[in-house]
Amino acid sequence: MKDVEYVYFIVWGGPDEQYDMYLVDDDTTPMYETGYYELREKELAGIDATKEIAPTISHGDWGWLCSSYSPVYTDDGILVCQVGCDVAMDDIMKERYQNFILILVAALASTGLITAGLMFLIRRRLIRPLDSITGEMIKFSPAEDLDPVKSGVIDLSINSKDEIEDIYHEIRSMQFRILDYLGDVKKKEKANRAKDAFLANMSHEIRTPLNGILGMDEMIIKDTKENRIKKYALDIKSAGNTLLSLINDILDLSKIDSGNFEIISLDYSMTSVINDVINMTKPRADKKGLTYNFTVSPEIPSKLHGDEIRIRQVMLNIINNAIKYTKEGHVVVNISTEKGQDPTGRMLIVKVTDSGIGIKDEDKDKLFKSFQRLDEEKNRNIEGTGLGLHITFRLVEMMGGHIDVQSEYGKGSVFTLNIPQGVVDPVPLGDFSEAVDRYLSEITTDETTLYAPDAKVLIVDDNEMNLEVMAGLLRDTKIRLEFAMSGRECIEKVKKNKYDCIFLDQMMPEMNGDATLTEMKDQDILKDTPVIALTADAIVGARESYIAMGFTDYLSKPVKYDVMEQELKKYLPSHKQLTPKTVESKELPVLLIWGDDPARIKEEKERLSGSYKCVCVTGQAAMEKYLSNYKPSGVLHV
Amino acid sequence: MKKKLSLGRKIYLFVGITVFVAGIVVAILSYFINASRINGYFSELSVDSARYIASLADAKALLELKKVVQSEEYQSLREVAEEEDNEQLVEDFFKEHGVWEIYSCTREIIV
Repeated sequence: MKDVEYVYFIVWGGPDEQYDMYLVDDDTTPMYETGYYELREKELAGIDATKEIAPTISHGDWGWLCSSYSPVYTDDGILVCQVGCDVAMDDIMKERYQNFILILVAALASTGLITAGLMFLIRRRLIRPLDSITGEMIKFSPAEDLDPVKSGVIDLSINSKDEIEDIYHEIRSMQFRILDYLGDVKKKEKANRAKDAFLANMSHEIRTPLNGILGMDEMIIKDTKENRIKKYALDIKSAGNTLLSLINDILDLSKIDSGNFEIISLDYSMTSVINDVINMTKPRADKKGLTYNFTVSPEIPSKLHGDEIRIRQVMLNIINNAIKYTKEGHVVVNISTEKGQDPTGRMLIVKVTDSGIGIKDEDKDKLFKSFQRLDEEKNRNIEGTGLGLHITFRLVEMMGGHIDVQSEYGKGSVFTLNIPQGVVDPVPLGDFSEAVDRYLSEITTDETTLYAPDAKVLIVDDNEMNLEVMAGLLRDTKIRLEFAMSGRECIEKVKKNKYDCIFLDQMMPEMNGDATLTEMKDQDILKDTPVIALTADAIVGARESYIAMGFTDYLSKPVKYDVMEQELKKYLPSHKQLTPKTVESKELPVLLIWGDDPARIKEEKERLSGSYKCVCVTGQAAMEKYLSNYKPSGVLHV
Repeated sequence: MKKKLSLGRKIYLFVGITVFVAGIVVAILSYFINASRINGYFSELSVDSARYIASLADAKALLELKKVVQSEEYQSLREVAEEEDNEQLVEDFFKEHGVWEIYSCTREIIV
């Protein structure tokens, strides 16, 4: 009976009875307590004592009690009374409340700690960075001059009055700025397009007459037997080419500045590039009486991958510059390669040393800026626009390389080009002279002069002089030429005749080349005839755009015979291109011209080509190789 | 722009209130679970005690005692005894009606 506070025998009525009766209580209760009473406890009221009674927990004058009842029956099942048993719960209740307070305090303390920890983390990981971002973004003041409605920036109406709203406002402000910037970009693009169009027109307008001049001059050089006239014509050619290169420089610069310049990487032979560079620079150095040394490392891979045209251009610019600014002494060019950052490629190194005027320290910063000519007073007599080095610098930069300059004023300079190139054929070039001989012999065998009397070509140009030049240039090929001076006339001729090739000028009044080509294609009168765009629009990317228009190829004005001949060889049917042997048997006697100076060989070829079918080779090895395969009518050593 | 409440403060408040409420809820839940188990224990204890005592009681004798106690005469006597705080009157009455033994035996069981 441990923990039991009170035990009593109790009888009480059913739900309607008002009284209960204590039959027996413990000995602490006076005996006279036994008897009827008004219902002792509220919870007993309404309880049917004949049934099982659930325990109750109550609080009253006796404190906290847990009361349970158990019925007492006679053997024949008569309920006599219920045994009530109260267990005191005061202590446990007190303990329970104390425990609750303890748990609550512990919970509050732990939640306080957790909250503090979380706040610390949140502050460190979220609030501080957010504050920093907001702080940084607030530095951008809103673009007040932009109308949100016109700009199309949607107002999300975020009014949280906190950093989110700050950030929202700053993002909105940035949106305005971006739109503003994009507007400027569009304006600039428009201006650039206008500039490009202007340049294309300029290029065309300048090249068209230049084409006439140089073409006619080319014919004079070809036809004249008089050395004095030939010299004048060669001077015209030189001046014309200078003018042409100037136009090209301006076009290049414009394209580079507008970001439309593309580096087009292809496989190329290093021998060809170096040979061209030597041929184009040596005569100038010789003319000035300079010692010109050209050293080529035998370790250079024979075939590289890069933009051959631009490599050649930057090499020529640097070397020509050295020759131009060296009055006496030497110009030494050293070409080599070394390991670059790309393990599959090589770094092409072109080192040009001269004993020229050098560069002042204070001028070095201006060296690669456009339209900057250093030491202007001293160099007044030296021709140049100040574009060459700037273009070189930009081109080298675009090819992923760099230029190093060392210079001592009055003593000379060293320019070093470092340009990364891919390697196609790692076989070393070996001895350069032998490589050139090999290269030239290959070129020579490939360079059979075009002779196609059965071929029929249509040339379309609105400029009569250009037609005359083209006719003159192609005279020796015996190609049957027909001419048209407008797009409409071209279409009429193509309807009636079948041509092997059509040269179609792009810039023509009424109907330009593009429209003419489209109409011919629409009428399906071209069949498979190749159509080569003929245009003075020589800006970079022109070739690609003409091919995209539907032209088969592209030929830039002023037309160079060599280039045109190559195009014709490519597109004329092979059975209409006669072999050198056939030519020999039908036409002029073959003369082999050989020597070590390509410029001199070319000069002789131009002089004699009216009387002979000239085959030119450079170097003795190439000459011997040719003679082992062919028997020319004569051999001329120059 | 005037900040009513910075995002940091909002987050602190949210976290603080959430954790605080969670703490209180845990404490209350813990209290109720604890209370329920204590109540259960005490209920079981009191029920067992009541059953035990009921099993010891002599039902037939108690029935007799009940009849005596239910009489009007006893009620009158009981009131007097209560007024005078005299238990002897009740004892004598029970003895007179032959239920004193039952009464005292039953009291002993309880005690």
